[in-house]
Amino acid sequence: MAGGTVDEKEAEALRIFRGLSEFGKGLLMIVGSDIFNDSLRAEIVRQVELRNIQKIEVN
Amino acid sequence: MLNYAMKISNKSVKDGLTEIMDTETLSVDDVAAMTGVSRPTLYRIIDGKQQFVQRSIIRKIAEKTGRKFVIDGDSVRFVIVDKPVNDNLTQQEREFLDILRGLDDAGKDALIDLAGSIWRAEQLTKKRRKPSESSED
Repeated sequence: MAGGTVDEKEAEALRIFRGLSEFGKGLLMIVGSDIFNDSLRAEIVRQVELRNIQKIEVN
Repeated sequence: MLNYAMKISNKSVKDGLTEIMDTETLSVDDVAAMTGVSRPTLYRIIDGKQQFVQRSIIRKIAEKTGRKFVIDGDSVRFVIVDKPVNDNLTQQEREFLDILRGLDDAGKDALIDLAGSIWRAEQLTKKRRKPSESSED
């Protein structure tokens, strides 16, 4: 990883990233540099919502 | 380094004091004891007690928000400095940072926005689940 510091935007991104579940982190990593792929982004959100529904149904 | 200009008025200082310090009060004696500087010297350096208290509050705000402050006439700039990378970053976090740094500003904003959407969706799930059943993954 280049550089010894994180700027404000990177710090904010890390803060949010750390608050995600492992599932959420994994999905975000999958998107990666393909962030402007609209269908992929939509699928990520769909997967999160689907998992939410499943979690609620289980409980 | 990002700079945020913030105009400080007596009201905002008071609001900041109320919000951040709650019932805690600043004592000139405490600061004198901490710094080893006499009260008359403290007052002389900063032109009076009121300004001293304001500076103390501003310093407290800077400490609480992790920023440094710069006095510029009647205004104060709270400066956010680049933070050192935590040596305890996980491999996953390093990979995430690498991805982020490979993007332009628009890409970074989009990735952070998506991360926020995922976070909000997950928080909603946690709120809906009973506390006793909210074990993570």
